[in-house]
Amino acid sequence: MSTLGSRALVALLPVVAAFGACTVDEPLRPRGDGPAVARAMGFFARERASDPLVEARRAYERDALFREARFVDAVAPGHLFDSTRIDEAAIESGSIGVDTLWQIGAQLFHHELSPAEGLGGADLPFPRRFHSGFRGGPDATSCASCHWRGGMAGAGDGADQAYLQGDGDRASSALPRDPISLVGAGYVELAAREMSAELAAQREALAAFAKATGRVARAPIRAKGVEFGVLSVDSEGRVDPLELVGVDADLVVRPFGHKGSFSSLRDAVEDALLVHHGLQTSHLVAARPRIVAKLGPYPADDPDGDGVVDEITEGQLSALTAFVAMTEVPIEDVPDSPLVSVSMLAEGRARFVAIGCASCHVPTLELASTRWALPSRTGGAPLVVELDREGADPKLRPRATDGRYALSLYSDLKRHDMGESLAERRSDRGVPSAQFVTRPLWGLAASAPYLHDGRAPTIHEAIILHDGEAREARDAYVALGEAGQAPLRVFLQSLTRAPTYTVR
Amino acid sequence: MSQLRLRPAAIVLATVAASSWAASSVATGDAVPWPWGRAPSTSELVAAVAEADELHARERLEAYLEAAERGEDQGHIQVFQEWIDEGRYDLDRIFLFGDALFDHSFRFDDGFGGFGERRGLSRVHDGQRGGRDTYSCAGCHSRGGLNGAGSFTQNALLLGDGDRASSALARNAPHVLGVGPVQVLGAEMTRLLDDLRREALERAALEQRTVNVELVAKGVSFGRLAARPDGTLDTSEVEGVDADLVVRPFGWKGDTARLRRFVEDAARIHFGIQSHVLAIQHEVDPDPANMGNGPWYDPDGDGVQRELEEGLLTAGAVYLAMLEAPVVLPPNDPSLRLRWAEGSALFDEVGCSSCHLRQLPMTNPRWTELPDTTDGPGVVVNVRSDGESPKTGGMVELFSDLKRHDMGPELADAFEGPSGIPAAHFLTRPLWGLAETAPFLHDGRATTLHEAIRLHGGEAAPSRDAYLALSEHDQRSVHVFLLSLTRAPKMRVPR
Repeated sequence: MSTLGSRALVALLPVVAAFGACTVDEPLRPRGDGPAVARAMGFFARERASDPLVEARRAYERDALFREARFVDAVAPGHLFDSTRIDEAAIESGSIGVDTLWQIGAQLFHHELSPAEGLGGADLPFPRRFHSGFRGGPDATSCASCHWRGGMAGAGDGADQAYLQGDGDRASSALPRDPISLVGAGYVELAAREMSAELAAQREALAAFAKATGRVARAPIRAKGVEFGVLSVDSEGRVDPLELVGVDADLVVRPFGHKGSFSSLRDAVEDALLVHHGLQTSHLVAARPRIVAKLGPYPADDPDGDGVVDEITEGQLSALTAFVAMTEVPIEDVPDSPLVSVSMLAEGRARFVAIGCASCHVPTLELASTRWALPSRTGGAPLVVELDREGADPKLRPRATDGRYALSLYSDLKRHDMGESLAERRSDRGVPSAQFVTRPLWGLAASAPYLHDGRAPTIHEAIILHDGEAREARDAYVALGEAGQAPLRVFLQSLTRAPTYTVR
Repeated sequence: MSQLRLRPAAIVLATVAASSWAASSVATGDAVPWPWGRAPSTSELVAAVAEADELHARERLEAYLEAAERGEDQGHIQVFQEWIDEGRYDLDRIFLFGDALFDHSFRFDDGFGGFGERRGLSRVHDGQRGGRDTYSCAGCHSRGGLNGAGSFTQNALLLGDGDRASSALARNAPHVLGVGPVQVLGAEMTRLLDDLRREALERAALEQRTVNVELVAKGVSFGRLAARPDGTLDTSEVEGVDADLVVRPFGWKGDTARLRRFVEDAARIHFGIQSHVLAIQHEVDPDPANMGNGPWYDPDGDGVQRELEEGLLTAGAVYLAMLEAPVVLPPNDPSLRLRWAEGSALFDEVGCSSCHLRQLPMTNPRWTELPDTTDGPGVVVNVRSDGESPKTGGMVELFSDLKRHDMGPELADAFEGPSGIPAAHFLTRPLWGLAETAPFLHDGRATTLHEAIRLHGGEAAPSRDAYLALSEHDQRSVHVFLLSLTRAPKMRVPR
């Protein structure tokens, strides 16, 4: 005990020094008095100490800092939100350290929004449970409100479902969607980008061939071993999408959203801010022509008419996106009990492949690089983060043999027809009603309930509700019987998140 | 999935941690604004790590066991009242059953939903039968820690048409901490009112005249009662409590007196899980509006009988009664501390504390959780000492009078529910633990404390106006004070 204690104390000295800068030096800072004070507050940790006592103390410390800052926010409203008002120019100049950026993003992710900060709109005040067209709810006061299960940036409960694109009142008019765990999103974006680049290269090659021969060039295309059907390009470079499978005609792999609606994490985050909180980014507001159906009917800089302009600056969006991109990679643990053996887990893993689950839930995608770049939308330099060194713990480490990365995602990032029983009541943004992107299974154990509308409370039910292209694998699972199914579920249960400590 | 959340060893450690941490007021000069003025000691950290790790390890193990044998976790919520009556389980074991219930993910095999409802969730309730809101209690009591409050998305939409949000009454999930003492207080107040009624009736009979009596319990006035010589009562001037004078401290409307009924009702309307006690009642006195049209042994007709054993109602009630109580944690910074003290004084000055009564005295912390259908002796829980820490003292600082008040038309429900409680009447929400429960008010419409206060109306209008008349500086001091109503920091591994 005393050894542990002294070790902990020695290790803590730098922590205390580091947090000294984040404490309440100026408790009374009126809002709008000079420039916003974006800063890391020390509420969230990107890195983990190996010593559990150090981790524990830090968890209590983060909680203490948050509690005190919340009091400061009470006497100086805006203290917490303004701490996230980071300037895009500062980010692009490279003067903001990666940890500061991550913390500011995390602060925004967890911030409890109010109407004074832009939550909702004049014609759509908070709250509205079922969305009103593409304007959305607003249905949530923070990102963390629906992304909490399993830890920071996690999944939502069944009760947290978003009801998208409805009439604002009837559940039956909307598309229910279970909040997806966001962890590892940066790696997912990178994998999708590499796949899109691979597909684009094949299109270019076919186009060049078609141009040279003056005939339609036609060939199967694939990326990271995943087949996306057959691509035809004519001599004018026009793509015939009819034989493409699981990807849009532009050959851009869109991994975000249950339906695969976004290729860019920033676009996904921007849309979530809009539809869940009524927070409109300066970028969306400045876009011309303005999309009234998404932003609202009011003029000038405040399309939702709530009297708040610049609701989310480009810098805030960058920080929030960077935070989500830098979240940890899920892990695979092993049961620690004589009642559930490791060999059972191994057997389940083999069966996962044998019965065909792995044909869509591809266990591993090869990743060439973990260099995550957020291109500037204001003409500046991109924000670059090396996820393998700068991402949150645990990070994805390169293989010693070749320096490449094995992303254990359990997805092909491709859309599949899941059959009538899982189909939604209508198509969504051009994606047919029965098509969904193969949900990555990493972190599965920490993300119940399952399926796009959370209809499956358990892994077993999630499997047996598969249909369409997955029907054969589902039938194979059912045919295994209880004894044969158990190892498979044990394996799936091992896909989880690294334990961490939290005080809230 | 959490079993053995509270092991005897962990109880001791946690109690030591909280009390010694709480007792200390020595500032260390450390730059971190530690609650209670100092950092947790190494031994406290060791205890916290051990407890969090242990709980996490057990949760993982249980998840694996369930994976290896489907339905294994249903064993954790198999508890028969007869076994409890026999004294087969000690308090800690009963707590574990309750904890397993709180975390259990109900599925169709367990009786989730009703006849023909085999798929997914249904968020707008279909009349009194309820809906399928989510799969577990923990699903909507997730904010600010275990057994916490619900977010806006987690609102239940009660008594609706099964589809339209506008047809339903929105209810934000409150945290369930400290409900053991609240149950005791409600029962003690009920007994006091009952005594007053009985004395009035006796005097009326004896003196052969109508006897008027002021209904005051624990300093809270519930209006007046007139007892007539013929043994009848005039309850027209009773205020803030039903005519039967039973104080019902649970639910936003104050419609439930006992935790076991609260557990039973929540399971029924949120999951379609019907207690066996309800089924037995339904046999004697059919209640298709609440229970459905199936046979008595399976009123919701989903093919599952005995969806919730009576023993589990007991375990759930005992578990809830043993949970930690919220605490008051003022800010550290001296200038903020000053604002906190000002805010505390203003809270009384503007009249908030006339309904959000700071404290109520608890006479006897021993609660006996009696069964419904057996003649078992009941389970005795001391709500001041049994279970999780921290605990309340004899003065329960809950910031409520446990009385219903007219909150005015702006906050009123769209319609009156089957309980007959007027649409604008709500129980004074206990404010303890408030800081971790945003959004506020019964339907979660208020995102800020200012908004929550501003939306008070009806009987609260004078206090609200007094608050609004305060300077901005003073209003903010009130917010500082309110944010000190929180829960003790407790470390865990997120699940």
